[in-house]
Order: sequence, then C-alpha cells, then structure tokens
Amino acid sequence: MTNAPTNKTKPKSLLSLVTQRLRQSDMAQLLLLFFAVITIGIIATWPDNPQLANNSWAALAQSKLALLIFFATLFGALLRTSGEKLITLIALSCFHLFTLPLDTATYAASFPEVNFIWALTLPLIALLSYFMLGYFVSSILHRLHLPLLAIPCALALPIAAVFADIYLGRNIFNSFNSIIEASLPYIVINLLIGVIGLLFLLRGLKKETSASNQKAELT
Amino acid sequence: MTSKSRGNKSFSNYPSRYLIMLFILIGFLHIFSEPIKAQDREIRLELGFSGEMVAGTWNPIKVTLRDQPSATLNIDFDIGSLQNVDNTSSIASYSTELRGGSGVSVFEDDIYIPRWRTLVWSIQTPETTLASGSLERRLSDSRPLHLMVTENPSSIRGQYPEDSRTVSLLGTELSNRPTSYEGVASLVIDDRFVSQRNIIAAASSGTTVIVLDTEESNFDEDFRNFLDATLAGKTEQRLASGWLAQSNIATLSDSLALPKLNKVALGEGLADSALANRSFTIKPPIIYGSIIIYLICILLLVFFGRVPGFITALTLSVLMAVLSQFILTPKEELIQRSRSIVVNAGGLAERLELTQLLSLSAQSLDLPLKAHPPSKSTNIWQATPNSTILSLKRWQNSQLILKPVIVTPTLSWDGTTLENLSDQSLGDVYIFAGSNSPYAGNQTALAAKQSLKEFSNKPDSELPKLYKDLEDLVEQLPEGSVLARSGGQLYLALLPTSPLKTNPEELP
Repeated sequence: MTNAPTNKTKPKSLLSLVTQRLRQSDMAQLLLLFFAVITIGIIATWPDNPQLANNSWAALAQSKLALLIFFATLFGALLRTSGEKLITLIALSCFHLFTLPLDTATYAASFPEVNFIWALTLPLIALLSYFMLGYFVSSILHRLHLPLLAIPCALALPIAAVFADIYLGRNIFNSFNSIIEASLPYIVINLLIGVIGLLFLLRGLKKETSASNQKAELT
Repeated sequence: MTSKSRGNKSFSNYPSRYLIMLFILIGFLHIFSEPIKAQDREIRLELGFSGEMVAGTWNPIKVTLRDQPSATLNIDFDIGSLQNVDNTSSIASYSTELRGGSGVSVFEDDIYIPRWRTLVWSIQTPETTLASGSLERRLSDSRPLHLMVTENPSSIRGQYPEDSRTVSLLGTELSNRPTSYEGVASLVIDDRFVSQRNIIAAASSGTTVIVLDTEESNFDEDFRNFLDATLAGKTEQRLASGWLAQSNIATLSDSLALPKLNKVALGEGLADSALANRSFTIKPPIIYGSIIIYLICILLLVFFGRVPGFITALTLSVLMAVLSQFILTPKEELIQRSRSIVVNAGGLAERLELTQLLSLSAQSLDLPLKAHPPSKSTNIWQATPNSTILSLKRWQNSQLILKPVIVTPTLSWDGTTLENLSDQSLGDVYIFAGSNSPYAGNQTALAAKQSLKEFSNKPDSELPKLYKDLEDLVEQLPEGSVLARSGGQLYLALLPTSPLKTNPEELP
C-alpha cells in the first residue's frame, strides 16, 4: 500500500504554466518573430537627423498591434480547451509587457498626439477582444460542422473591422486607427467582447476542471 | 342695389387698409434702417491710411466708438490659396477688447495684414453684433503706398512712377507709431501740421520722408531748425532704415528714387538652418544597441530562467520602461531661438527680430509678443494687441517675424569713422564696401565705445561663417554698410548718405 504509485501530481502554479507555455516551440518562435519585427521597425523609422520628426512610436504601435491581433485571433480560433486558451492569452499578454520599454522609449522620443495610458493599454484590450472573437467564430463554425473555415474566418475579422469603420465613417472597430486617436465606442465594444469572452472561458474552465476531477475520482 | 352698397362699403375700407400697411412699412423701414445708420455714424473702423492698406505688412488700425458699450473687435483673414480651398488651417485673425461707454472711445494699433482672400470684421458684445463688414479681394494689394501731405497733390503726382499707389491725406491723419509706416514707401510733406514725431516714426521705419520746399510750404521755425540739425547741410540723410530728404518739385523724382532697404527680406533672412537646431538626447546607435541587448536578455531569462527568470524578465521590463521614459524625454519640448538685426543710421536705430520655433508636441502657443509668420508660411495664427497665438503641429518648425521696434543706436558711421556706441564689444565686424575699396573686409572686433578711423587692409579677408550662412540677408545690404555681431544679435550700420552721391574719398 505504501509502495503503490500515486496518481496525484502537484498542481502547477499559474506562473509556471505561463513560463512553460512561453517556452513551447510555437510561442518561442512567435516571440522571436515579434521581437525581430518591432526591432527592425524601430531601427527603420528612428531618424538619423535630430531635426526630423521622430515617428518611431507610430511604426512600433502599428506593427505591434498587427502582430498581437494576428496571434490572438489565430490562437483564439485554434485552441480547443479553455485552460490552454487562458494560459495562451496570458502568455500573449507577456509579449506586450516585455516590449513596454520600447513603447515608452519611442513614445518619449516621438511626442505623439495620443494619450500615454491609452497607448499602453489599447494593445491589451485589442488582444483580449480579438482572442475572444477568434474563440467565438471558431466555436460557431465548429457547431456548424465547418471547422476548416474557423481559422480563415477568424483571421478575416481584423480586416472586416477596418472595412466596417471605412463603411461607417467612424472609429469603432478599427484598432489601427484607434491607437492613434482615442475612441470611446471602440473601448466599450472591445471591452464588452473581451469580458463576455472571458466569462465564457472561465465557465468552460470550471466545466473542464469538474470533468477532470470526476474522471480522477472514477480512476 | 344690395351688392352695390356692399361694394361701396368694402371700397370705403381700402384707404384705412392702405394706411395701416403704410404704417407697417414705415415701421419696418425704421427698424431695418437703424442698424445701418448706427454702423455709419456710431462705429467707425479704419484700416490703413485713408482706407488704403498694404497686404503683407503692418498697417494702422483705428476704431472709433461713440456712445457704445464695450465690445470685441474680430478681424478674420482667410489666406488660403485655390489649391486648399477647403483647408481651414490657413486662417489668421486679430481680436481685441474695445472699451466703450458714453462719449467717444478711440482704439489705435498696428496690425499685420497678410495677403488675404477674404477679410471679415465684426464688433460684438456678448449679446449682439454692433457692426460687421467685409472687404473685397481687390483691396488686397501689396504695392507700397506713397503718402502726400500737401495742399496741392496734383502738382507732384506726375513725379511718381506710373503704377504708384499715391494717397493724399492731412497731416493730422498721420500716425506717430513707426510700425504704421511699414508699407509706406514715401511720405511727401509741405504741411506745417506734420509733427517731427511723424517724420521720425516714418523715416525710422524705412520710409523716404521728403520735405517739399515750395512757395506754399509754411513750416514753422522749430521745424526748420529740426530739419537743419538733421540734414546738416546735406539734401538727404539716412535715419535708421529710411531717409529724410529735402527737395523741390523738380528734384522730387530723384529723392523718390533713393535706395530702399528691403526689410522683409532682411527680417526673413535672419533665419538659417542652425538657429533652432536640437541635438539627440541619446545617439541612435546606442538606442539600437540597448534595444537588442534588452530583448536578448528577456529571451534568455524566459527560455532558461524558468519561473524566477520569467519574474525577473517582467520586473526588468517595468524598470526599463520607467528608465527609458526618463532618459529619452527631451529636456525642451519647445525650442525657441531668436536672432535680431539692429539697423543703425543717422542716430536712429530699428531692431528687426526673427524667432524660430521647433515644437516637438502639438500645441497652441500664446507668446507675449507682436509677431507674424513669414509671408510664405501657412501657419494659423491669432493676434491680439499684446500677444500672438500660434497653433503648431507636432515636430513643426516655424518662424515668427517680430514687430520692428525703435532702439538705442549701437553702431554708427560718423563720416568715415565707425563708432561702437554700446557698452559691449562687437565681433565679426565686416565692411561691405565696393570691390575697389581697400577697406572691404573683416575688422575682427570693436571694443565698447571704440571709434575706428583706420581700417585694416586685408585683401584675403573672408566673410565670417555666420554671414555666409545668412546669405539672403547679406545680399540685401547696401554698399558701405557694416555688419557686426554680439552673440545672436547683429548690428548693421548704414552709410548716412547715398553712396551714389558721396564723394569716393568719404567712403570707408
């Protein structure tokens, strides 16, 4: 009895799960790509002459936002379990946190017309809402038995948002425009999507946990 | 019969109806004609001299209110071009508070009038508009004015070039403020009601003031003494950037042809690319290197540091964010540098100043100075009697030409002696003499209160570096003028008489 092997593993902390996720090959490659793209963006746009306008923040913000939205929609649509989704979402948020010094440095040197807090928080809001949009689109298409369309449809969402704003003539859905010019409708809609998605995700996580507990009890 | 009587009854009502309608009409006419009368009689706005203004320069403005409440005067200039019809960024305006009350209130000032497409003015109280109007585009004329204060203007009109804008006015209509004469090329007077202050104000501002000595001239003793003392036996004398000349009808055209100093070019020529230069807080290669090293550190910490490494990476990113914000924020959000030139001649001096601005952030600047952007600029600006409000976009480089002011003379020619009248030493003293003059060139320095009669003769003397950079300014200088500098301030001494009329031996 005493020598019997135990099935119970020590539960991992959130930090170790996120660290583990960041070290997985897919995330590691994306992190490298992310760093490379924004470094090249900064070097390409930082002026050699101090008299010239420094527009490096705009270049950095746009490229960073594009990559984060792409990764968020992709993983939101791709991953199936709520646990995986949540950890990946946190890991993707770390992409933004790791590059905060680049945001602050380019912001200080560029003097953009947008608010500093807005410039730092919008990528996180966009990340959250597009992750959830990817998740919703994927769930709907899976229920419609069209899983192959999940990723293309999710990736078409940011493009659709740009065109929706062009059609409406207002700044509501387009993140690329919103980062330059603060927009209240944008923040309301995206936060709403993000929070609803997060609630769904947490509910799914609860179900998954109880299911795994039941399974463990049965074994 | 019945119908007839009815008809008569209704017919008998017509005269009373007509009468009522007539009263209503008179009432309407009375109501609508009243503001027009008020505008004509109670409020008077005068721009320029006798309504003639010069676009692209300073002009006098006079507002007279009679028994009117305090109000605000607004003048809006739309200076847009046909290429940017819908662009509202090309708007200049002037506004000031007008003190009203019972009796007559007069407001006088000088305003810079750009070349406009539409000029609209209004005098308003918070409740109502007291008067308003607009000026036709054809009045936007940049040709200088030739003022005639004479009892018989037709006798001298033929002496002016054909396309001259001549304006005949009374001596009492002249201004005592030098800036009012910025757009005036010449002022011919034979009227004893013209004061010495008017003459000095006009001449110091670049106008050729010609005192016409005719049989009809009735100048008093004081005025003749002033004239003799200033001209000292000569027929003309430079006073700051203008001239004072004595002439008769036959020689008037010669006096009108005295060389003018192009003050607009001189003022705008003060700018050079290095005036509002800024330097990097940190050089770009150091920034690139720091970014790369930082990102490599993050990757190493995340991939090999496990949980402690991840926490360190997050802490490092927050620390670096705070640090980079402090280090890379430029010390000056607005770089403002000025350069001025003091034009000295005949014991009078006028200072022209240019301010160069580089704003890193988008902002609206309220500068406590009277100024305007250069003629080719498309900046939005609002002027008040004491300030200039300029809207700048981020990283916008802009210039302002300040209103010229009369100052104490610093550097002056006294015959062939060059005098430094100030208490500061002047460097880069350079004489712009003719190629055949042995004295052209660099005199290096002039100590405080020093007079120089003997000039060094350096055939290989070169133009100082700053003067080379100010090529547009140097091109405008007449022969025999001397340029010197003390810090960012330039001093220009002009020959007191025209080089064409001076004996070559009297030239330096």
